[in-house]
Amino acid sequence: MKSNIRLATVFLVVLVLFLIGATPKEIGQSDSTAPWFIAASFMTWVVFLGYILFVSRKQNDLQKQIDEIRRSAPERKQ
Amino acid sequence: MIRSNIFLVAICSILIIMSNYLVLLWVPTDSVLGLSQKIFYLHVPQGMLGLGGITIVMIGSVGYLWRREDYWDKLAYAAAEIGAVFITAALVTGILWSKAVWGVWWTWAPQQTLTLILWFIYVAYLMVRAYSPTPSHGSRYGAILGIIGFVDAPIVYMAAKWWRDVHPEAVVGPLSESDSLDRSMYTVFLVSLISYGVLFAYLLVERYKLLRLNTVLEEIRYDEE
Repeated sequence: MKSNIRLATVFLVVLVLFLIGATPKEIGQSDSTAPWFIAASFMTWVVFLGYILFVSRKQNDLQKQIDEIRRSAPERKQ
Repeated sequence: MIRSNIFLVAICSILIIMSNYLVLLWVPTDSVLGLSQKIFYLHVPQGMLGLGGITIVMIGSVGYLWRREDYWDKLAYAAAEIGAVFITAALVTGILWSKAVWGVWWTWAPQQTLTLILWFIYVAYLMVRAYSPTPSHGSRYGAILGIIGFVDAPIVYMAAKWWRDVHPEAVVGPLSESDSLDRSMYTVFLVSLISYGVLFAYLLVERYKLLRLNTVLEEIRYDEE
């Protein structure tokens, strides 16, 4: 999951750079509704990336707990 | 498993970049609605996959009640959470689109209201799962709620046809007229739908893995005791 997050971040940076490059061209047409479209795109990614981050953190936490219990189990048996 | 996930992430990212390129630079801007019309390519796929989520919840719930196998229960639970995320995104983009086009944040149009009800169904399902006295109770109560909650999905889809309001009728899917959407717009919509579909699949796999990890942890703790 960690490597997936890294990969997703790289693609996101590319996407943001792309959006920054593409947006002025569209806004240049003096479209008053452009901010709403940008806000919708932004909010979409806040929701999805927030959720991906939440799942990734929980997965890491659980994996750590499992590893810790497995490591300490033989010690306790002795 | 990790390798297949990297494959999913790569495909998903490429499709998202491609759909963003098509939405921003390729597909023509609507002459009446302006750039706000492009919210369509975010809002509609999110809503459709939100409806898809509750369908998977229903299938998983029926499967669990019938077979009593953990796999179905985990599938339903994971789909409920992903569906809730997609419906949340659809509601947020819908609110922004509504403000841009109609000048108000919320219109209480039937389709909008029914989508909000679907969001509450998802929240209720997740609360039942989180706060049930035992996990097996949570699975059973959740399955019943998942099956009942699914009833809302076809009503959401049919709402714009049954109760004519400010919300536009379906321009894609079986209810739409064949020429209701420009060909280039339809192509971009399909690319967007596929990219969100792959994202849905990726999140479903990850959430399922998380539920499995949780079970492994509980089993280890039980063995320890």
